[in-house]
Amino acid sequence: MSSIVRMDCRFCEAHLVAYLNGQLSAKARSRIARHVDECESCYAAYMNERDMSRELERRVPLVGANVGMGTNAAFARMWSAIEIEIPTSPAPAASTGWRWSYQLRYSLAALVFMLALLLPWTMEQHKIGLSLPIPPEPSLVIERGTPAPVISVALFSNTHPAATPTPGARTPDIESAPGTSDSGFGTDTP
Amino acid sequence: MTITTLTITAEQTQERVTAAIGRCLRGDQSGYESLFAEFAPGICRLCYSLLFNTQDAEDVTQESFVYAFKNLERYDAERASFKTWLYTIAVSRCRNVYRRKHPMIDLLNLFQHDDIPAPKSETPEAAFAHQSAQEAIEQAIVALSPRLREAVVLRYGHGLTYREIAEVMDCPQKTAESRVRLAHEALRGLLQPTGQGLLDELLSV
Repeated sequence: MSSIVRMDCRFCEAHLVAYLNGQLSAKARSRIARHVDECESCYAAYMNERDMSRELERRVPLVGANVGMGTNAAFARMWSAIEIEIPTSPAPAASTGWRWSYQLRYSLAALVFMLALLLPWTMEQHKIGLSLPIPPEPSLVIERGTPAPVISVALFSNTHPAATPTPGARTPDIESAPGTSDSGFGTDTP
Repeated sequence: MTITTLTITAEQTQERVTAAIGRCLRGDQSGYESLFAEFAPGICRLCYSLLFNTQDAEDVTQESFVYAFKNLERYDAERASFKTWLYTIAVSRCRNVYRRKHPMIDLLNLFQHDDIPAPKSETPEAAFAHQSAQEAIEQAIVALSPRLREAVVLRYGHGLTYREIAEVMDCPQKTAESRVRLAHEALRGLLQPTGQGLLDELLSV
């Protein structure tokens, strides 16, 4: 038996009952009908399932018919019990704030899900921005031979008590600071 | 009855149901009575087919309608038909009964054949065979697992489509399809314990 025929037999076996119940698409229906015409064993299975379906259609609706189910007295009894519980006032008008439609609920859920995915990513972007080093300020170019200017660096702000120069205090001179080179920043010219 | 006639009948029923629901929501008691009259026979038969106990079937039918009427404003016509919604409530309540106790077969009534309607032209022998066949099917349905029983009762007892069965049973449509197929296999096994003989006899009635 070729693989195609075996595949059709499997398809037929899986969907024969649905075919008999009229629940298949037109394409699936024609596939099964074609195969049942060609395959003896599937034809036999089709006849068995057809007989079973017909028997069930005939007998299942009669279940309960012989035990007094569905008599007028039974329904009257049930209705009396139900009638007491029925709401007597009109149902409250559904406020638009609370009556969410099916589609709106799912749309909101999708939006929350997307925000939850995007939030960590945007936080990562922000973190990268903060970690970039601050570019250095352009350095001062001094020609050779020119004494380096004395730059008083104000270490403290004017409000700091230590910032107030005490009489006689000498401003530190970069030129005389230990370890300072006197060649300045210019390049040596040969 | 032609397909066109059936379609018109289904549309008329739907219009009647929609109008009745509208009356209920406005506080008109006659709406509830219309809905009960329309769906109570089907719900009652469904519950008995699943529980095989008269008292349980009536209790579940009652509870299902009370729940449906108290929660009518939550019914969404865009999601499902009223029938499917009501059937979902009833099946859910039947499952609560399974969990509480195994389905009790109303044995005495199950074997009382007198009231099963038979065609007047039937001979006594044929009538007896008809009742035996009905009894055999009912015993086989009782022996099915709850899910397979639900699938076969909804399909053959109430004519629901596979999509509607899936909604009522709260499962995918493919699962509903395979449950109906598995129910066929199980029933065949139950109805022919020794070869082909019993099934042939049953199908020849």
